[in-house]
Amino acid sequence: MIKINGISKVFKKCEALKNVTFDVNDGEIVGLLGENGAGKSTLMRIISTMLTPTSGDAQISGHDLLSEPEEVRKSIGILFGSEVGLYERLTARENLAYFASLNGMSSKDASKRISELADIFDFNDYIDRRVGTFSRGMKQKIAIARAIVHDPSAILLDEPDAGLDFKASKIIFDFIEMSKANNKSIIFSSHSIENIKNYSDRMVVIHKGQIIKVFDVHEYREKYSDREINDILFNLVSEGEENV
Amino acid sequence: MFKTAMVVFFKEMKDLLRDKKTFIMGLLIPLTLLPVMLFIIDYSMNSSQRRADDEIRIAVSSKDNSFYRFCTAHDDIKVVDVDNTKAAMESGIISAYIKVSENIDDDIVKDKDYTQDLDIQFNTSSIGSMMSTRKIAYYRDLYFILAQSLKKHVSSAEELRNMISNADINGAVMKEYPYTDDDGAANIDMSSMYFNMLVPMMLILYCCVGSSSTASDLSAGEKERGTLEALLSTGADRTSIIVGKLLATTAMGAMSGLCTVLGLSVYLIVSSGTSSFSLTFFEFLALLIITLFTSMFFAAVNLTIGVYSKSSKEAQTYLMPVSVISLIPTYFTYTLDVGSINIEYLCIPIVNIVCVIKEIFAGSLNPLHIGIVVGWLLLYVAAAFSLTSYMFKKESVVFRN
Ligand SMILES: Nc1ncnc2c1ncn2[C@@H]1O[C@H](COP(=O)(O)OP(=O)(O)O)[C@@H](O)[C@H]1O
Ligand SMILES: [Mg+2]
Repeated sequence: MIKINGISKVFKKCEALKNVTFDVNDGEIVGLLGENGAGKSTLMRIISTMLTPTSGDAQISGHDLLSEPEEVRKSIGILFGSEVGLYERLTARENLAYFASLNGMSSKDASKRISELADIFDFNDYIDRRVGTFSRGMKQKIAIARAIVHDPSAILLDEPDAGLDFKASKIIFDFIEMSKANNKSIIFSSHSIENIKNYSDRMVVIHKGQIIKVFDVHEYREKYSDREINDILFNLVSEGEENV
Repeated sequence: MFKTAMVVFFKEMKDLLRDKKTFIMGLLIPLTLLPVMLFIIDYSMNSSQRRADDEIRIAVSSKDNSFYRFCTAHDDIKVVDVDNTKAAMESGIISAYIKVSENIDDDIVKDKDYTQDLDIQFNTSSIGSMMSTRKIAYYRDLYFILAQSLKKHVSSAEELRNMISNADINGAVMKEYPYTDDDGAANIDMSSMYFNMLVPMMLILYCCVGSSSTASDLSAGEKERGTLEALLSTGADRTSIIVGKLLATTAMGAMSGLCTVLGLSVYLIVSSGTSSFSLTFFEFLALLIITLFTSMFFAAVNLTIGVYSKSSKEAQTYLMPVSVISLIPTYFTYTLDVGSINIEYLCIPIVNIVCVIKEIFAGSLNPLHIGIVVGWLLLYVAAAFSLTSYMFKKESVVFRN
């Protein structure tokens, strides 16, 4: 469960987020749609306590963002981009073990969890090879495993689909659906309407730091055709442009 | 917290030591560079000394005098005819140019002061020329002695010149006034000058440079590769992370520093017969302590810069001047005499490190001085580290836009 209550963020020159509020239930996928510079990454960084909000707060799995930052971080798994966050001179296993122990897992629990993940994502063959030698798809699997090595209840993915080919994005979206099945709360951001429409339960449209629309994707898909949804979104963003 | 810092530290060390570049630049080069340089200096000193021993080549301003006769009569002096004396000295054709006053013989015969009639000119920038100064001064003295003893027996300049030509210079005279070489004193003076400048310089340089690439790799490098966000979003607190990184950076700097000391020890052991430098156990220990704290200091400074920088490239741009600046004090203090080291010197950053290193090699180890300098270094480390830690927690630094 992720609860975001009126979060704003002001950087020196710009107001990156304005009073952002929404919830993510367990077993729910929320797609955060926004153009470049809309504030998606800033929101992800705030939820993962890397940045402090100028105002507002949030709870993740019952932990308060501002007063329990370490507990919050332990309850979230985060992936920035699709394949980053790995140390190339370490093996896949060493990478995973490092993040497991930083999240306070014992080495026994960690190695159990790592072999579990190796089975799920099918990387037993290269788990003891250095990440620097991996192909993009291999790295992507390890990066996902790294994000959830501590079995977090909330999962944040910041533009995980950016610049991916068909095969690589399948790995990502299979993972998102699997997490939903495991009852996780998931936020993934994207600037692709297509991916959000296909993979999320709810869509939060953010424009210049403001939420301009939240809607139920399943409902819309029943009511409208693909083209119509695209048009609705396009109009929303254009209106947002005028309103701001 | 300590546990997390150790997790970070061990991971960083594993990561660093797998990098060939770190291994070569951080360990291999500091280990070999200093001894190789010192051996080369010793070798070139010895060979210029040998050249100075063999035969002295000089040019003389005029041939119409008893000094010229003395030089030609002497087997070890070769008078060379050159057009441009300055160029000849620079290219090493002659070691000195001697201007002889035309009155010299008259002055001798008439019992006037003739010591001012010889003007010996050296090329001060040539080691070979400087090496011959002692030898040439000896020949000048020998000539004066000879002139002194002959002047009572001659009545004219012409007679003096003939007597000098016929004197048994290479036999009886040389036997009575032999040249004494004070164990190549000039030679050792020159090498020790280089030694005193090079050793503190290289030690400080490697304590600094040894941790600079590590510092940028562990901070700005993580931003660049996108691993920083993954790291900061784990359950670990930032203080532990940065402490672990500081420890790893210090370890790399200290390893470079220790490799420099090790290389130096190899030089001292191999050249123990010929070099005037040696270290006792306590001096060696003091050197290690100073090296350790110096590398800690630079590690903290370098890491601060790394944390501030957005990319390794930016970090390198800032780190480069740090190593250059750290060398300036070593340059200005290389002539500093160990006896004149006072408390003020011991309070100037880096100058104080040079001072105690000099003391150690001069055999006048002063535990109080070491203590003062270590105290200062700890203070700098604490200051630099608080700054790093502060910056690492500041979002406008970590996520600079
Ligand atoms: N560290 C920062 N300092 C100043 N401004 C920033 C910083 N990070 C982001 N911004 C600004 O905030 C706005 C939102 O950025 P971001 O969250 O990265 O957008 P998105 O991820 O949706 O592309 C942009 O205008 C960006 O320039
Ligand atoms: Mg972004």
